[in-house]
Amino acid sequence: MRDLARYLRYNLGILYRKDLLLLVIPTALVGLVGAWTWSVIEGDAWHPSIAVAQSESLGSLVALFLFAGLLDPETRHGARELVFSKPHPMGLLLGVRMGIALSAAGALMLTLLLFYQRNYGDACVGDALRLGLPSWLAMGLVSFTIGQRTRSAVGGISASLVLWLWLVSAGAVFNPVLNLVGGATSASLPYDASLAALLRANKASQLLLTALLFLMGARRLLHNGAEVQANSGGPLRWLAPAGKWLVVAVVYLWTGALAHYLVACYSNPPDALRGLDLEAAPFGAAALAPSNWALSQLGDVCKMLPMAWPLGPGASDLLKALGGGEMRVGAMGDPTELLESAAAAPGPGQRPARLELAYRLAVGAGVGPYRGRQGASTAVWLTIGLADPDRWWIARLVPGPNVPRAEQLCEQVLRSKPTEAQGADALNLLAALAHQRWQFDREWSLNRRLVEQFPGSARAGELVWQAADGLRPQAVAVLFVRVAERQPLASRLQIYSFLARYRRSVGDRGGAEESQRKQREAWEGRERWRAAKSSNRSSNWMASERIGAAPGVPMHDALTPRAAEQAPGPTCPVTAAVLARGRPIPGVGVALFPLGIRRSEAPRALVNGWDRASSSAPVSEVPGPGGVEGSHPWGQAGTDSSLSRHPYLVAHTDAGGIARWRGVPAGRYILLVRLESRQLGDPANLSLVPPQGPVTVHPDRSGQGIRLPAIRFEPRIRLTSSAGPQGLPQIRWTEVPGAATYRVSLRCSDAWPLDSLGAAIGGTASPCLAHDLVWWRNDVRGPSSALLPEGFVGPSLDLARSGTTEGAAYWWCVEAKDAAGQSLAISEPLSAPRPVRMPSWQAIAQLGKAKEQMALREAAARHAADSSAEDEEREMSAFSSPFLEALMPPKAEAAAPRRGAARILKVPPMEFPGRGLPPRGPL
Amino acid sequence: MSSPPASAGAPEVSLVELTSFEARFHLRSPAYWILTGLSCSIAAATVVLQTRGFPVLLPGPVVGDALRGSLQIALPLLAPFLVCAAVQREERLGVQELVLTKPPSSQTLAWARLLGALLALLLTVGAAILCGWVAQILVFGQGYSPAPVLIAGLRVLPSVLFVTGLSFAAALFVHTPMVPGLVAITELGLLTASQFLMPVLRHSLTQYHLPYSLLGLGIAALGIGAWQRGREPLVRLPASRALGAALIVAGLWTLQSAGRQWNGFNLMADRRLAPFEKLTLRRPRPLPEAPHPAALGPPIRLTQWRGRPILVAFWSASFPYGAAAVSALGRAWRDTCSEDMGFLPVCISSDPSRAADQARAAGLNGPIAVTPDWEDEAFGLPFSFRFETPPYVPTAGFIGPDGVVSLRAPLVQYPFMGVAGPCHPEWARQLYEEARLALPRAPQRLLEEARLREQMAEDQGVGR
Repeated sequence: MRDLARYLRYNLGILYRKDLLLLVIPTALVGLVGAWTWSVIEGDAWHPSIAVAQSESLGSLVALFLFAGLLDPETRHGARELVFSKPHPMGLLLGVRMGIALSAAGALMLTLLLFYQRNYGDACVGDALRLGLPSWLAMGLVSFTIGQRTRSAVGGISASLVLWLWLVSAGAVFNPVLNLVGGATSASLPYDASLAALLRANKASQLLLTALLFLMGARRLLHNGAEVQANSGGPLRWLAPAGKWLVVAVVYLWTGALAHYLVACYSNPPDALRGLDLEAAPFGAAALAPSNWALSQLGDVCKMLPMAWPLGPGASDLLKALGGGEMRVGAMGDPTELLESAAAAPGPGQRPARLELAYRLAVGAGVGPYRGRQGASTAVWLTIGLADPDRWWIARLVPGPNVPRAEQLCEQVLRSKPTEAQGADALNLLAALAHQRWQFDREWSLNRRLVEQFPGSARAGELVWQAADGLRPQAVAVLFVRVAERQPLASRLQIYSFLARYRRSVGDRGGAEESQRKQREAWEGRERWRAAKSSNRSSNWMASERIGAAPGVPMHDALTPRAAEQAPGPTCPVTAAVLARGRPIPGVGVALFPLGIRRSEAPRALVNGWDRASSSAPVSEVPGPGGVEGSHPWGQAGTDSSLSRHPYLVAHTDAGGIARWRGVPAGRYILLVRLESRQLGDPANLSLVPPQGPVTVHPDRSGQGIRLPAIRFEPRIRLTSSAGPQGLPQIRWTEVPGAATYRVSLRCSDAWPLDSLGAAIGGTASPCLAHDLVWWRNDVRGPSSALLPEGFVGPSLDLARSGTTEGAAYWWCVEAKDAAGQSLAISEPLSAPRPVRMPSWQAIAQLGKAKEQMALREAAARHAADSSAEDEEREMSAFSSPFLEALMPPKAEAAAPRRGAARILKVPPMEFPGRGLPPRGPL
Repeated sequence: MSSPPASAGAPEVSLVELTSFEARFHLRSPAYWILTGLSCSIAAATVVLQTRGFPVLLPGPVVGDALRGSLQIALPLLAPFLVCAAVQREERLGVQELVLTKPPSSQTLAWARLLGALLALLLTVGAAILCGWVAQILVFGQGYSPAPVLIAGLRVLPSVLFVTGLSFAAALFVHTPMVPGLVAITELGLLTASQFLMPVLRHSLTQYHLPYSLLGLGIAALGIGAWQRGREPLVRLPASRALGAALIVAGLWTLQSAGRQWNGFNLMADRRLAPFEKLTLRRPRPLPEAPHPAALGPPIRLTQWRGRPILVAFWSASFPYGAAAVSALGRAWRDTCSEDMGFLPVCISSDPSRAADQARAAGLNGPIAVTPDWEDEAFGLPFSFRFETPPYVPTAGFIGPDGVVSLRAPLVQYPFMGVAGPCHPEWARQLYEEARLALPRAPQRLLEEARLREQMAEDQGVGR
């Protein structure tokens, strides 16, 4: 022992006694960093991960300086040969000097950490030292090895300094396993099992590197630095080392990509999941499944790396399919085929591939309105509204190419032990599809399953409030605690806060106190360190803290009650049959939608009908479908949401095509039907039969219930368009038996100013509701009608409704009515109608007199003058420079008439013939 | 130090040959190529990073200035490693005695080593400039301008020279691998001290390039002289020592001269800017007769626009994108109202040459006034215009014909970057068009306001 102490003292003297700078410089570095941190970072902004980060990064920098010259003193004093040629255990020499340098680095870092502990209260000294030690050793040994190889401590410091700079900055992105600050990354990022595994791999790789370099160093010392260097003397002598370094770089990048891939396949990405709204799905994104976003980013960077060799062909296919957005994916190959291939190949990427494929098959390029590009045979989700003969509509939404297969894939993912994020993604998609089919019970049970099976997912934190409804208080507490323990800090605080109040309200005082204690522990910072690590989503501690502290954060006061399955008050059982060509259709969703509902909850098409009925504005100024609210015309999300709150109004047809409502409150209803076009078999040749009027449900005293008239889909009226005798367009149709009169109408894509094509094709409606109506004619007796000028809606200044335009798309619609005015059939197919072309023809203006034509020209000139004035004003008010805008006169001044300016002719409004909208009775 | 003198009679190797040998020695060293590769990567990355999220930029003032900023941080930190490795080469190889007892003389050997390192560093800077050019061509295509990058790269050399001299002298006497760390900490100390309103300590400022170059060479020469004296005690006054003393004297003299010219010792005492701090927002004052310091062109007198309003446009050299906006404003002024109004671009920078570089690159060729950068206080015209922080967004205002300052407002808005977004060419064009529309209204309005103020003052005088 005395010998060892003497040996230590001897080495200590050699190392530092004659070279005090060796200690002074690292000490100065540590002092500077400590002073800077203390002056810059306020107490509130402190986070223990800063201490870990500094321990890993600054500690390794200090080690880099201290290790570089471990054997330098002998060299400097010219005693190298003398000392190293003696029989001497080189491993011991190196180990002792490493120990001394490591102790010096550790002492410096410990001092710094204790300083932080004293000033900030929580520096996690033990964790910081434990996580930092492998980084110090690895960087120190790298520095020592380079110094020995180059026989220069300066060279060792400089080269390893460059490496250090890389590893603490961009290197963390390229290779997380060799990241020098892996502990700090793990501490500041949300915790999950994959990151914990990555941290272990990170520290193990650093220790492995340390051991390897130590053995190399000791072996080199054993041979006294004698190495046979191949030196061919020619210019090619650089090729071997260059090739060696190239291989090292490729291996470095490749192992980094591999680590990223594995982490992405097994991780729970933060903020990945929200409720899935199929109508607002992220169209065109590289990855549709939120849990695959990390893979998508990885694929963007390194889809060309050879991943197939270690991980199978599925990995490279998956990265190619997800990486780089749609444009580049197209260049790499068909993403669906690549995903099919990846989903079939076993490996870590199989589950993400199946999930992505499921999203792609269910959502495709985004569930959206039918736009005519897909072809008439495309499967669509149909929502049919039936109010009365003058009020019916069809809204068409295009889902992904294969929804049943998507559901199968989701089930496969759920059976294969997915991660929390993947499982939640799969259940979320299934729940969204159930919602789309008005299967609200199934949606609720899927959401509950999500909360119970994947409590750590972000979606579980959102759904727990409704999933707990109906459970006993003890079960509620168990479920909430289970979810809270896996949630990030902000969500956890919210859950515990609610749970404390809930337990108190049900008389469980002990439980309430425990919940409060948990909340306080999480909030007051006793568990800051653990909370930050166990946070699934809060990547930013400060952000979480602010969320928790903000007074305006919505706090849940009660469990979200599940929508009542029974209607309140007296009800009546109701049945209705759904028939296509007289045959029953099973699995169709039918809803009775109350007419007394609030405007905001009503279907958009109906709201538009109200607007049209009450508005005196020209037809072009009445908001069209979706103009009231919503993302796109004919969107059904609002209707679905309203029905989900009243599920007793929805029934699905059984095998006999009968929809049965157990109890419907008394009132007046319209009928809504939700079905998939493939359920009908031949939607292109079928059309709806408009109803006689709204459905009235009254209290049933007999107890037998009400049987509604059948909802029928019958062959549509066949149309043929041609040129008439005077060159006017003409429409002919097949006569309908029993029809006394027909109503003929024409709609146009240009007649609706917003998303015209989508509005016209994605949804159609009766002429009384259609905003793209151009021309109509009632009481047509024969099986044909010409496009006579007097049928245009007008007025003449509305160019789209006072004539036809070449190049625009038009649709004919014919309704057959019997003698009592009841609709028998219509020509509107359930799939998209086929557009026809028209010649350019200004029908109403041709009938005007010369004076009217002059007035029209003057009005046009006035409009042009107004436009130019508006343009000028807009130009003046659209200054990008605040300074220059301040130089311009105020708007009132600018709007004042200028001296000498031409006076604008005031033209009185002109009345031109036009039919206006078709008449319509009250609902 | 106690080594015997070089043996007499041995053939002396010339300094040029030895310098060439040293430079070639560096070029064969992997450490040198790591340094050069890193510098080139930094240069290329600096250029490429300017394009993140912005497909089209004005490459001139942005890229050159950014490159200068990056290299000015990286090279003085990396150069000491190269120099120290060269100085301590024999020592670490254990052949010190063997080499140093042979000819050439200690002095020649040391000078060759210093010059060889400088030559190698010059090549590194050249390679970085080349990389900046290549990156610019790849990023900007035909629209790049090579001159700002070349000028910016060359501006880094004096700082490198100073740090090299310092490192060289330290490495000659301090036998430890910690010399680069010592130099780095010295630099950090200088930088910290310069924050206390002492810009004379910032060797990266262009006006102090010559003094610090002389000081760097002088320190190295003094070190060489002392080293030679230690090795050859018979030489009473080594030439290097005399040269070093002379260079240091010259360096200090030029330093104080440059400092006095630009008040670099203490910003608080810049008397030339004092007259320009008396203009106010309300009270009319005669325009100061004193010349205002200029970064480009002769000193500027506001009285040359007497009787006319003056458009004043500020930008900060720390945010060089503003130069392009001010340039667009200047072009519009020249095209519309140069007869009726004056135009004074003002760059807020402690480095007038850097301001001039930015102005030239942005196409501002007229006289450019310059006021010093500050931490907490504004000096000169920015003080009159009530600037509280350096304008990271270019800002403009007016000095009325009666000496009243008015209408200080941001010249442009950067909706995307928020702080210091690059000036998009489309924006510059739009700003030019807007300025053509708005500027002609300004002179008449300012004259009327001045007349109104005069009338009000007269009314008040009559009332009393």
